[in-house]
Amino acid sequence: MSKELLKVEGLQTFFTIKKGFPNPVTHTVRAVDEISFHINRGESFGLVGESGCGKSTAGRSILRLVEPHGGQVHLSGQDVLAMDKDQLREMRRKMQIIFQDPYSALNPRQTIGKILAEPLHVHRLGTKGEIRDRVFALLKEVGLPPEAANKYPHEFSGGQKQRVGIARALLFEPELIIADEPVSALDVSIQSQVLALMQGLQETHNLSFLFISHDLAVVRYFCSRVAVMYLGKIVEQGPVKQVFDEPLHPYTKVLRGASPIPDPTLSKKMLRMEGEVPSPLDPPTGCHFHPRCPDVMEVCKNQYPSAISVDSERTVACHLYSQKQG
Amino acid sequence: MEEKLLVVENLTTSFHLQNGWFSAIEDLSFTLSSNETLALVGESGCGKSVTAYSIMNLLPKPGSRIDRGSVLFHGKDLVGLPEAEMRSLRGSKLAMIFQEPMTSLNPALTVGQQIAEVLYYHNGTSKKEALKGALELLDQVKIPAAATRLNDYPHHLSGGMRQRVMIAMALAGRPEIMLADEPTTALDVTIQAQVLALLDDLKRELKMSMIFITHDMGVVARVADRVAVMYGGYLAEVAPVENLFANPVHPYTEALLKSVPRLDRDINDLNPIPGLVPSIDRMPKGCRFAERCEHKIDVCEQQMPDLTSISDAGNHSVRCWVRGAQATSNGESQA
Repeated sequence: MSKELLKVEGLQTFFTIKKGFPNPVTHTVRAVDEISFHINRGESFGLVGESGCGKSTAGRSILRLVEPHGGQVHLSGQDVLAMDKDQLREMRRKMQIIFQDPYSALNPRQTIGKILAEPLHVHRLGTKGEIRDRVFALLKEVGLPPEAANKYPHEFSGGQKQRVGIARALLFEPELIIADEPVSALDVSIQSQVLALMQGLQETHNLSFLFISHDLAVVRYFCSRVAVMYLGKIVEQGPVKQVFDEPLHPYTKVLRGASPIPDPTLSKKMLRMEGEVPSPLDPPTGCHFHPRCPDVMEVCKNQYPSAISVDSERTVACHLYSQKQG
Repeated sequence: MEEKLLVVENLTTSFHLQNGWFSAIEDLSFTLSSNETLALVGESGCGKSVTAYSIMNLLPKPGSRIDRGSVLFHGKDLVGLPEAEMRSLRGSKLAMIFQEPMTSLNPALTVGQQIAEVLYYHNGTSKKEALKGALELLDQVKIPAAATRLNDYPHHLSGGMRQRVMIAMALAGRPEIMLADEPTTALDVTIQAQVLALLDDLKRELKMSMIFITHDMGVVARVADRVAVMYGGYLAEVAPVENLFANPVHPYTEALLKSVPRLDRDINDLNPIPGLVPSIDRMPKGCRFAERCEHKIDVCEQQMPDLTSISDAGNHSVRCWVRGAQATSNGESQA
């Protein structure tokens, strides 16, 4: 088996929207615009960025919950984007997703037992008794009591619901879990419980994670490598420690400087930066970050920088570094 | 002794649930000095927002009530103040900003109208003057091209801009105290940094005091002068911000700080706090943190400890049997 589990190359997902009255004009939003990365077996890969940067769309495109417009996605060497409906259904058993909001991800009219058993029935994986045993085993694994099977989602707290979401993702013994902000809606003390649970499961099941989050501290804890997205593009990627401790791209620096650190001696000198994320409807010309960039140069206004390999593991898309090399 | 702007004493607020009245905050006492930022920190359901709503007299009625205690603002008790009097304070001397600026702004009025309204009612300025004042306020909260923004509706603005509009509205009455209820929780980190910096500047320029409610220890470290940690409706620990982070005494504070992932350092193992926050109708009898606490002793499950001072300066208090002031008399050692 090769080391590489998921390979994403030049993935593109566009949305079209109509705006204006009475004569609507069609706009194209390049939500995910030629992003490339890979995830190894047993590895957690982080995708970070602010709202609207395309990180969730990237996750959904890989699963084909939204259809990408270009690029390639390979899972264990199989071309995901070329699959027909039946193949896709088989493939999704190996690739599962956990959503941010456990409240809306669970059917309020089904018991937890039903929610967990139904997919197994649909895929005809075992007899009634086997499926029941499997549901109880899963509940135990995510730290819920067996009585939970007879309860409805509203009887659980947010953290417990997210545990159900995790159990559901584990049903088919997947190889890859796409976790879209799995702990963002949870309280601090519950957040660390769920993170610890996911980490334990990763070890026992040799799972890989695509971990989508806006919280740099959580990504630093959970992931080994990370990609930083800004307006549909990956601006920097590499091992999480290097990217966050010695960021190269000015945006990564800004993001890091703006993240509050629970230490009053450090956080008083938190970075200040003006300007907002531009609308993805109408991204700036050249490098998308140039209007907010403290190191902006003339070339940045006209030309999008190509990704440069800084070393074997790190890439950055910024003209600052192409000049040094050229 | 310096004059305290706000003195909250033994404040207890209850809510009516299906099977009776249950207290959401209990026996809460703290003070706020001029120019000070006090952070109220805790998880969902710890009572931090109820505290702010109780101070502002904005509790939903019927269904909730203040059972005991007082809120002294310049020595005047706000609890039980007639609504007309409270209304003249609210929005002028006491202002509040909320987490979700979209639901707190009126979608059918322009930003300018909404800010001008505050000036018109509280300061009695003419409508024309009030609009001019609104423009100045938008400038003050650093909204670019303020003159054109005046005619925008809230849906035209981004989340960060909406929060700035909220702040402008809160400033319109020249408040002495600003209560900020998770004002940056819904914002992206770079925008959060901007709003926190803005609040910092305004506080200094206008000599305001602030009660800042948040669940984010990183934000606490950034904004607070003093911190009050809440758990299950009680104050667990109150301390100056440097002391709290350098020397957390209450087991809950300590566990909370240990359980958050850090951006600035490697953590191999998180130490999650086991269990859940008890819900308000099922609060344990003794210390409310006891069942999740790894330092608990027998008395913890029997009786709630008092909030006791543990520092010579008298500015660090904690409510704990093991580590509070009662502990030393019992021969317990501090960890």
